Amino acid sequence: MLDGVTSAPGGIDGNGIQVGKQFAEITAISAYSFVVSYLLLSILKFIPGMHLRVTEEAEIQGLDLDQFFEEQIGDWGVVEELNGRKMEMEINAPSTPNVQEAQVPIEQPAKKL
Amino acid sequence: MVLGKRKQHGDKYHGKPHNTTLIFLGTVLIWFGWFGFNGGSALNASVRAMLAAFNTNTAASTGMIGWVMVDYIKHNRKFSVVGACEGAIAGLVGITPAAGFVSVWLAAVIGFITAVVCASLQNINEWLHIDEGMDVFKLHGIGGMVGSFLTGIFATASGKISNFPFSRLN
Repeated sequence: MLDGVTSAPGGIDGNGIQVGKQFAEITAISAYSFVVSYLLLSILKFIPGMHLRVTEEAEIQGLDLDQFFEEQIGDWGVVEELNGRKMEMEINAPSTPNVQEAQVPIEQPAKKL
Repeated sequence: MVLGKRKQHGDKYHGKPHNTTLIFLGTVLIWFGWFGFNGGSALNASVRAMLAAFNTNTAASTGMIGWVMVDYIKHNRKFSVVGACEGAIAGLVGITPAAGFVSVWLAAVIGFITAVVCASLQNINEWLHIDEGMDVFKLHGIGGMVGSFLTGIFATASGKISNFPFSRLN
């Protein structure tokens, strides 16, 4: 016994009943977790201030912008910089064809997001 | 199921991982933390705790291999870092119920099998019609079930743990 106390033979030791016991354990634990989670979540829904969903606007604009200010995780900083550059170009040269061409590669990363 | 789906569920962008670097960093941290989880679950500084830590690392490694192999077959001989990270998590989850009770080479088997099963169930959220961005049920739910089941098969009483590779222990 590795720790001096526990001996846990399994199917590989010829103790095949352990496989059945494990299976019963899996079923019982899964069922318990499912039922209790379901009940708790359903109850939480009806307690004011405890509902887990955010408002639709918050969900669409993202929780970072909803809950934090000046939060720029990941690529949003790049998008903002590109948008700023695009606007700058539009202001500097309002109607030249060059600007139209330049817009294409600038807009693509923005679309992905 | 209780909460309902996200509003933009199904948008391609909203189903993609945001930042692979952060996923990798998170996996490294969770892997490290898992040593404390499994090793500490022995509640004493015995050989069993050491074995649990050994098994944890082994299973995570083979889990990574298993998931990447499934990805390799599924996605036209290409790999994915995200998949590798998921595989490591699947392996860790799979070995957790068994960590102190199996020999090291069987820990490798458990990690591998768990990751292969989880990777093969890639679309389980669609089958169940739930919107779950983090794949928690797939990795932790299914992975835990597979791991517990394999524990029943592969758990061994102390005498046999010394077969390989700790021939001097016990």
